[in-house]
Amino acid sequence: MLSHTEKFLHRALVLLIAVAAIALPIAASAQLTIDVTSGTVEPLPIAIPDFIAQSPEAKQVAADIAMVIANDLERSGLFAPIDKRAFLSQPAALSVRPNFVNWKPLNAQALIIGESKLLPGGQLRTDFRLWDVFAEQPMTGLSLTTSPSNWRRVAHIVADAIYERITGESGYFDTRIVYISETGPLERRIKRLSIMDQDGANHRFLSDGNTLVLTPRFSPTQQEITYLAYFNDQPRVYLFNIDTGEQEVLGDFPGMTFAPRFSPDGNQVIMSLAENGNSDIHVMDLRTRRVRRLTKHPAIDTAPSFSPDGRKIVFESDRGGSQQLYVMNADGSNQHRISFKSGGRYGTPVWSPRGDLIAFTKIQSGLFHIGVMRPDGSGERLLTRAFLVESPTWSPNGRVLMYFKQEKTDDKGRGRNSRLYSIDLTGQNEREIITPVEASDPAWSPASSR
Amino acid sequence: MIGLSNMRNGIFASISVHLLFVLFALFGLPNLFTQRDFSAVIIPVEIVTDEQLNAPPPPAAPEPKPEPKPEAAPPPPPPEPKPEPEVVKAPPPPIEKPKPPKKKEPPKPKATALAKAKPHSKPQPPRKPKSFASVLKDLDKLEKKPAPKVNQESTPKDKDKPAPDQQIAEQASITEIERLKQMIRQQIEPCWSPPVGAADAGGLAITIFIRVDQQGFVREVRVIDAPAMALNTYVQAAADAARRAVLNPRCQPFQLPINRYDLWKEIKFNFDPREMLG
Repeated sequence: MLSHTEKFLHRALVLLIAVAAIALPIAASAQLTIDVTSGTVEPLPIAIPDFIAQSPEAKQVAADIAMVIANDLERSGLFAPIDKRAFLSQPAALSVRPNFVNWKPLNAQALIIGESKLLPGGQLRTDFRLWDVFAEQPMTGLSLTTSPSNWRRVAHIVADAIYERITGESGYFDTRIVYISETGPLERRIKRLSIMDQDGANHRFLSDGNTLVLTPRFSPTQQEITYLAYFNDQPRVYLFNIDTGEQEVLGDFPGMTFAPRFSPDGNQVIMSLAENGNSDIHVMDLRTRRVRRLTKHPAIDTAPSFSPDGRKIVFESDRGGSQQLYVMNADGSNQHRISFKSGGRYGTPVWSPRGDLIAFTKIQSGLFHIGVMRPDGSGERLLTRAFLVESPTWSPNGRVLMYFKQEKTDDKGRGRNSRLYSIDLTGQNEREIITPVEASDPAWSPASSR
Repeated sequence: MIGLSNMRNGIFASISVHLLFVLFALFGLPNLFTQRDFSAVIIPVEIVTDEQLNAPPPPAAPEPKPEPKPEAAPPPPPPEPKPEPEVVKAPPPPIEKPKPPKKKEPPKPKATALAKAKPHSKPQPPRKPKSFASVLKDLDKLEKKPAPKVNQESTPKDKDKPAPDQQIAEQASITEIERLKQMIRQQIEPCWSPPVGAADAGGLAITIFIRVDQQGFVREVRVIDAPAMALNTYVQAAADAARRAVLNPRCQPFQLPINRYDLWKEIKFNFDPREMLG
């Protein structure tokens, strides 16, 4: 009897559910779910009015700071500073909330408001705030005090803070570049070690041009550069202190040393040592001056570069019959090839400070390319090419590559025109870095290298 | 006997019907619950608080002192002048309580600093927005496929899928919903500029909930899982980009059929840049 009742109840329930499903009105509270997987890659429109001068003496510097910030952000390719002539209003004070109604029609998505003033002690104080125009909310702000002569660095630091907040990555504007400046005819080329801010400002020559210098590399931790110079027609690795101007030979090796590069902690220099026509990779501890050999192969092993954690080394070698990229542990073990794409020779690998990619030079179809691949060799992409593109160097945030580019010369050796360029990791934003004379072998400093 | 049995059955049926109605009232509308959970985990992504905004203006005098090393005049080549010391970074200055909006100033035609600005890199021609599938350039691929796909029409992933929400599917035909999604997608895509060059950019998927008024203007934006995002600057930047997309006046108001407002008044966007990276 009970089971009969249960059965009936069951049947009734099923029937009712069926009827209810058809008859009952469906609740109107519905939510549409949409997957958006295709966007539009364009620079972020940003409004950068002149900083507000709190004193008449600060008027010029306030305008100059805004100009340098705008240039930094624009050159990154990720921002589009809005023409100041289009502004509907000027900010009155940092402490006043902006009137966003005046910025939205310009399609400004971000707004920077800043103030500069000279303090009684002669110091320059600069404050700024970054606003999200659509959300009408502040995003970040900084206050900086320094000597007025440092105004360019103030601007770069502000630009870095904005870049970091908008992109999520640390900025690279407050950095410097060492490179080789080149003058004179090809057969009597004068090459000088030079240094400048990443935007080309504050350019200086560090050497007089009497010796041939090549491949400078910044120390990640100190005001030091390692580079290659010829002494008695022998290439040797040197250390150069930017602060003191002192230089020293890195060890007295029986053969040639070249392709030097610092370890991420700055305590070691890794380089190639060539003896009797064979070159292998060696690492020197700068504290003990002890040298350790990492590769021992009859083929040419060169151009080593540490991973940012210091545990791996990428290098080039022709041990497989052609010039390819290899990775090994920092102690020289587990050497294995990572470049396998057919039809090209690979060289000058550089591990990204971010760790996710290795930049390289590739010679393919008679042209040079700059490309990137993952440390396991996958995901290879070629970003740019020319008659000669060489010596890639990473910005400290691992987002931009700098290199030099040369054109093919004519019969009389003219038209070489060696210049520095930078390109965003996406490959979409290639820019020339203007230098006073021809340039090659750039090396990017770590962040805040002063 | 039969009559009694019938009567008993009727009572059972009646009880069942009432019970079912109660059950439907309680559990028949799963969306209500989804929404409640959903709003419970939503927190804005901002890092500057209202307190900072409304705090009194900064005191003029005291500020963190750097070590003011006067910059030495740069001597010639080898001995490098010691660069200035690090400027001191201070916390963001507090901002005065917002004043009533200023009078709108007339446009000032002023061709000043930016026009005069002399960048050290050569100016580039203005770049056109790119909206193709892979924004990461590869010269090899470009050569193999000389005609890159431009303005790729939405996501195959999404197109192929049936409407996920069963309730919506019951209110409108699947085709109608897909058409609606397509319309919204096409309107929002031009305004979404994700950080494609970031490390692990493909993993920076962001979910955003919006509420739209009948005129098609976005009235409420909430980033899902915002607390977790605030911990990671990359994710935070991606969330900001997604929020800018839905708030951008250039892509508003949504042009959608008003008679189906009930379908689009609340939208959940999944912004996923994976396919853009190729």
